[in-house]
Amino acid sequence: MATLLRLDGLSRSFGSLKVTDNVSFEVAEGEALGILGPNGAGKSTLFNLITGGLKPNAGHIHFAGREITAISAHERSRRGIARSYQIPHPFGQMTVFENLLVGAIYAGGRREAACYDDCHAVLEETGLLSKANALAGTLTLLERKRLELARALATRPKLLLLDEIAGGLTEHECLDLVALIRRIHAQGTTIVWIEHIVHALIAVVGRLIVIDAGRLIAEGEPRAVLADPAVQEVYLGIEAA
Amino acid sequence: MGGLYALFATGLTLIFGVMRLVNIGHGDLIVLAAFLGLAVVEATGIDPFLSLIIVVPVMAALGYGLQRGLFNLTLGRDILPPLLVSFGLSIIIQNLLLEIFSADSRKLQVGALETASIRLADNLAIGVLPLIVFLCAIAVILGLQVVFYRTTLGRAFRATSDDQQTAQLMGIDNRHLYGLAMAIALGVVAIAGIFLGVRTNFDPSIGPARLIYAFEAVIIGGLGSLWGTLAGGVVLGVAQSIGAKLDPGWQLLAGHLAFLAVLLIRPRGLFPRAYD
Repeated sequence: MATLLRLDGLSRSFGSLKVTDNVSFEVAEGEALGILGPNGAGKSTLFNLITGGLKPNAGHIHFAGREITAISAHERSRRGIARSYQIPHPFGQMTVFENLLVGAIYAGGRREAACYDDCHAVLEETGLLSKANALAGTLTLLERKRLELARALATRPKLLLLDEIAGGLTEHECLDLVALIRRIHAQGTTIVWIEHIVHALIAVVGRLIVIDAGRLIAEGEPRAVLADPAVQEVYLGIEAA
Repeated sequence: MGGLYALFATGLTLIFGVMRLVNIGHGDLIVLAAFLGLAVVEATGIDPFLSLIIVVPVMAALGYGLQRGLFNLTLGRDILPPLLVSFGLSIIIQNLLLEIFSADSRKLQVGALETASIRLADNLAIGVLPLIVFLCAIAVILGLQVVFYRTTLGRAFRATSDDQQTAQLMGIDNRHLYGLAMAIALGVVAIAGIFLGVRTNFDPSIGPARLIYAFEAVIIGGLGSLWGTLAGGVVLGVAQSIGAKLDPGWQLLAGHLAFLAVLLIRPRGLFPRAYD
């Protein structure tokens, strides 16, 4: 399968703190990749580097065969990179439907009328149809998380980055979400998912990487990676706490 | 005067609403538009209202250029740099106008319209010109409301105003969008400038005082609300008129007192946005 995303020797520091330290990996088209790592390991920074919110101090990012290291965040979203935030960031003063329209029009590069059916379908898929005309600021946490996902989907991404989207949900809500993400993946969207809730993660992803202190410490088939002593040392400490 | 103050304030509220930029040069841009109108009228001999056809696009283009070439470079987490740059812009415009047009007080002439009035009752009449200004202010605000709440561009403005970073992830080029916001704002400034020139005498130094009226109207109305801005302009205008009736020296003081009273009673303005 063709490579969709490739990171080469990516580094980023804040002052003397190396948050991302010489990270390289590839994501194939149609793949679902999971990222594990303790809090503060630099996982979210990695997403910010990929979406263009942060620029790396060193290294290169290629997407769909072209280098995107230097291009702006809005241009990257137009090329097909979308993300959800760990803490939902809806446009609170706009309706749920409008939240989706913005991305569908600007990132999708389509005319407004052409987006209505599409946004409607995304709302139906994510279970938000009954809230379409509610102000996004009035939604519950679960609805906001779904909106994060819906808004990213409305941009018709090739690559969907999910940042701890299952955190703070009940077991039942979590299962629903996993089913939804599996459906999105099955429809052909490539997914990279950062998550602490391991059982949710491995229900979806086919490959796992582990990041600790900005460095990639393990990579491979999920069960093998979780059984790796180095990973257990870093990660099970978190699980126990 | 209420409609005029509302027009002054609309551009300010627009710029602040979309990009959290406080433009100290706003008053001087209004005066710049008035002088631009004067130059067009003197060069071509057309009616000052017709000069809007030229002044509005010129100011809008200037706005886009200023935003892309100057203000975008200053926007960031810190609110101080754009404040300082716009303060500098204010001084540059004042001196440029002084250099080109001298310190003489000027006025845009519209002939008989200036004194025409409509008689409503035996001892009650309203001037045609103030009425035109007021209706124009309503039309401008109505137009902006439609743009903001009914169009794709307006949605992008609101999204960027709410969360600039996330808006970028939705494919919105915020530098271009800010340029457009400033262009629209200076288009409104152009209208305000021409009406200012028609209603009163103006010279290069009156910009900062217009800025204060604009600020007061914005804050009386509640930050970020366009209809609130209109209400703020009216409150300020009516207060000044009542003050002037009591004693000519009371005109400005009455306006400022009304502003202080609103601040004391409704610190967030008359029509604050639901939440920030």
